[in-house]
Amino acid sequence: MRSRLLKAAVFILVATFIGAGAALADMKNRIGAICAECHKDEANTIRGLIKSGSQKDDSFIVKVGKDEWNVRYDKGSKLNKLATVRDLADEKAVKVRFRAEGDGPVYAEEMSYKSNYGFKDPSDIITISEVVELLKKSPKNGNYVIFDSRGYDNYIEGHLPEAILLPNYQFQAFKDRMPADKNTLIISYCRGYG
Amino acid sequence: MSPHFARLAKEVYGYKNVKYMVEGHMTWEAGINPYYTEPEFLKMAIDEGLSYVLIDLRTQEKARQAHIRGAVNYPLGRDPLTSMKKLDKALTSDQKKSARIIYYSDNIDEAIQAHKIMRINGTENGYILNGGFEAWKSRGYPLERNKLKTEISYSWTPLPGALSIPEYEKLVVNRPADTIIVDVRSPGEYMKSMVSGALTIPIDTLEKRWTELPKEKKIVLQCEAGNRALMAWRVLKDRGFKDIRWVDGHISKFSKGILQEGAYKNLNAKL
Repeated sequence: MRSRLLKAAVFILVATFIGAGAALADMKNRIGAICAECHKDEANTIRGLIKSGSQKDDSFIVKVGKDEWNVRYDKGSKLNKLATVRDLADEKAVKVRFRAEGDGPVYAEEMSYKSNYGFKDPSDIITISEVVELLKKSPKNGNYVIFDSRGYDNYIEGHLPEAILLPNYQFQAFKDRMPADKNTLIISYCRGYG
Repeated sequence: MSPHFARLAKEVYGYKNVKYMVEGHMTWEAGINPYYTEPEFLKMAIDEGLSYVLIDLRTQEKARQAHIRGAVNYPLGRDPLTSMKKLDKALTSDQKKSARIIYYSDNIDEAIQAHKIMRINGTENGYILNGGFEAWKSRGYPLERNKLKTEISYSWTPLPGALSIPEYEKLVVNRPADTIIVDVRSPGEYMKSMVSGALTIPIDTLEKRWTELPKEKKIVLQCEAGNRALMAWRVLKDRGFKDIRWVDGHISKFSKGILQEGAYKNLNAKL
């Protein structure tokens, strides 16, 4: 809280002399917590998640923790692992190398879309036999939920016992199925290769 | 894509205990763990004429009185092993290998027991009707009386809207003017290789971008393994599209030349 107040005070001071845009860019987080597990914070580079519904023909918003970055782009913006900005999906990870411009949005000089998600930590994985063991208790008694990350038609055809449908690709539409208790063990699965 | 879900659940939504069953749906059954099928699927199978083998495990009296269409009656009774031996004899070796067999009873444990015995007997494609007979009835789905089948028949049928790889490849090679191919994979995937001239709409943007597709055209949806194409099929069906197909098969089985490297560069992509 104190550092926030301090930052705010500095912001007002600096904004008065230098201009709001540059100062605003200096204050905000540039790298999200999970991005920081593998990447370093870099000058003029944002690593965060696309804000749901923020995608426009000339701008979008990147969320980095609680901070939001309004990003402007045009034909001069270089794209990596991305053919068109229309493909940016809600809450997907993106890296933007930017140039601050006055007090408006920052300009994207280069954007990279994260295409490969993986796990670094083996404790993020649960095995089938561990799930079989868990299923001896009901989800309520065992404080767990199992989410089937595939789509509706795959789900109704066949799913794991106790599994609830929550398609990865339609997360926004289904996210009210997430449990209220943040300590609940959340298990998800998709197709796999059998 | 589940790793992304895990990340989202932790970073954005603050869940502390998130795990991913990396072996996935297709490996689950290998350990004779049952799959549960929803009454909605069986209803669709009946309405769309999909082939299935449906085993009513309740007593003969109960089953005759009210049963689901197409059911055969093999009461599990007090001696499940012997009862299931009868069912085992009634199935051909082909049916044991490929037939979609769905078990139901009043209680789900009976269906699980029957499935496990039959799984050990060598049936490979068994399902438990989730919620049993009661779940079917409570949805108000139709019941039949005294129309139990006495013989088991099964002939493989594609899922609604499914297009086989050979059928798809014919369309790719000789594409009719009224047909649009949509690749619903992510940019990282289609930028490696894709069907030349296909449109690209990643599945996770389709709920917003379906309006880019003309309703009067025939639409064919393709992804990597079939799951996302099927998902897209459902999205478009719910939006009132009439003629939509999805490619049911893995792109690793496509013939050479169907997918072309760098074909995305021909996209009419405006920023």
